[in-house]
Amino acid sequence: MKVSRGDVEHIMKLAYLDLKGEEKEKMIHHFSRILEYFAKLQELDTANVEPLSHVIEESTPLRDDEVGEGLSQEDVLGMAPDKEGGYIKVPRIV
Amino acid sequence: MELCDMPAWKLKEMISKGEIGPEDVLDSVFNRIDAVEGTLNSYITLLRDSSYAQAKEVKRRLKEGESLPLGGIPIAIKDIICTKGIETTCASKILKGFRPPYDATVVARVKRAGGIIVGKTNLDEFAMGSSTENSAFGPTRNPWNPETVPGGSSGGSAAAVAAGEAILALGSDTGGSVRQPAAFCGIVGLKPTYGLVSRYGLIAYASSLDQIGPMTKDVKDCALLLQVIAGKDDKDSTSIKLNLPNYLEACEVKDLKGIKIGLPRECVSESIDRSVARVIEEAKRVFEKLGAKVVEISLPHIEYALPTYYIIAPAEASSNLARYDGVQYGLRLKAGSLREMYLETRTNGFGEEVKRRIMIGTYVLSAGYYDAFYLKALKVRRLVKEDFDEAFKEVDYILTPTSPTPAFKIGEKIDDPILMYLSDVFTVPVNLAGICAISINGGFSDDGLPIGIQIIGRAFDEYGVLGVASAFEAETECHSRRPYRR
Repeated sequence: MKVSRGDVEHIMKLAYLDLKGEEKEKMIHHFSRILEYFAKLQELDTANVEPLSHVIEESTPLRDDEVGEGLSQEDVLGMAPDKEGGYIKVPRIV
Repeated sequence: MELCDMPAWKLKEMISKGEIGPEDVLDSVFNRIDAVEGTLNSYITLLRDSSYAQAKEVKRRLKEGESLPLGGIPIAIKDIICTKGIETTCASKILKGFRPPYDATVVARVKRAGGIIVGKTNLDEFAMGSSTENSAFGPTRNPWNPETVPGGSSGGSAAAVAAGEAILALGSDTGGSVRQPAAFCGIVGLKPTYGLVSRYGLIAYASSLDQIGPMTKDVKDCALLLQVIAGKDDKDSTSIKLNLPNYLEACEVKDLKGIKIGLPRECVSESIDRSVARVIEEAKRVFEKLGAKVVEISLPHIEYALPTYYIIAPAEASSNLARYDGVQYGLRLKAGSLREMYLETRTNGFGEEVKRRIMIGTYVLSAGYYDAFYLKALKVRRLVKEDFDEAFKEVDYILTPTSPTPAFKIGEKIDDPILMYLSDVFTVPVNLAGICAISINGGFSDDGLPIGIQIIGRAFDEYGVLGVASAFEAETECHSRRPYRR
């Protein structure tokens, strides 16, 4: 299966990646090769097979709603590249 | 033999008898690091000073009579596992400078058990790779032959343990990332059953497949470390509550009478290296000598496991790695608008293979392709799991090569993703099925490179798998060879 340049550009947009030049060409090339490899799965008839998204198929376990220890605001903000007044700062959006 | 080439259980005995102290082991390990790290590049961060401080603390705790399963043993941690206050990079530029404000559960448990964290090891960026070449900090080299790769993605941990730059190590295994490098470096690597070991603090690659596992010099050390890290953790809702056996007792198994081992005919095809086929043939004879019955079985869907994995893992990764946008942690590149900041940061912060997997994952989840790729892969995942369910009705364990070849040359596969992916062909089915498997050294190639054999067990039968591996080890000599041993 060949992937078109337009497809790859669309996926780049969805994935928030902006590849250019040689890197983009290489991506298009490898992308097609990998999709061709995936085509092997079409040999199998899976019409009556249930998908398995997770090996633990029980429902999500719930815990009691009790206050526990968490990270402090200081700890969390300490990781951010830019902050001000108890907030994470980003470029102007409006 | 130098201390750094000894297994942890032996060093523990010597420490408890007062023959040596934890700082003697550290001296030996750091001497070896000074001698070989310039060649190998196993570590991203070394923690020399804090190691000696930890050793002092462990000595005090031992003196007070505390029972410490890892008391004074130097351990290396793959740099995708969070360590409080210590830079955790995932070998990616995008996490440069990231210091987690908490310890991963496994790290907290290692510390509580008296383990001494000597450093953070190199890996393929975000654990995506099979050679440790995809690292922003340069490739790690294989101590058996520095021209070859150590495997991946936990290649730094594997090289460090093999070379005596650490006594024990932790790795993570999403599609073989503990077992394949263990095989390439001639050590032991265990991928526990999904849910046995907490993933809290393991930076996510593919959440339904990731597990942390021990990488050690022998099977007994593997049991020792597994005992420390296994068990329910309230911070990981997928970790399972169960009564843990004493894994060290499994290592007392002397024979395998009454045990049935399956050898899948799909795993001894012509596509595997001649030396690997020979090692499997020899292993089969060893198991028979130990009293096990080795029978041919079939895993008919195993050939579909690899493309299935390379759809599911990137799909999960594309979602997990959406968080790296320059806002909350790590790298941020300056830009005029928020959208440009995201684009600049992600495009420059991620390496080539990571971007490839994010793109593939985004594609297989996108409108119009979801059913044909992602949903199809989930269905085949069930077929792969059912193959194992069927096989385990007939046999107790399954024997395969860990990888189809011994360690390959640096640069040999880096430009051909599919060729690189094939290195994981025997390990990924185990992650898809969520069961457990160990890789141990089964012998050597004609060029003197180690070759791993994989023993696969039922879900939560780590005890049994360790027993089979231990019996094999007791019957063979190959595991005791070390690249730098004098």
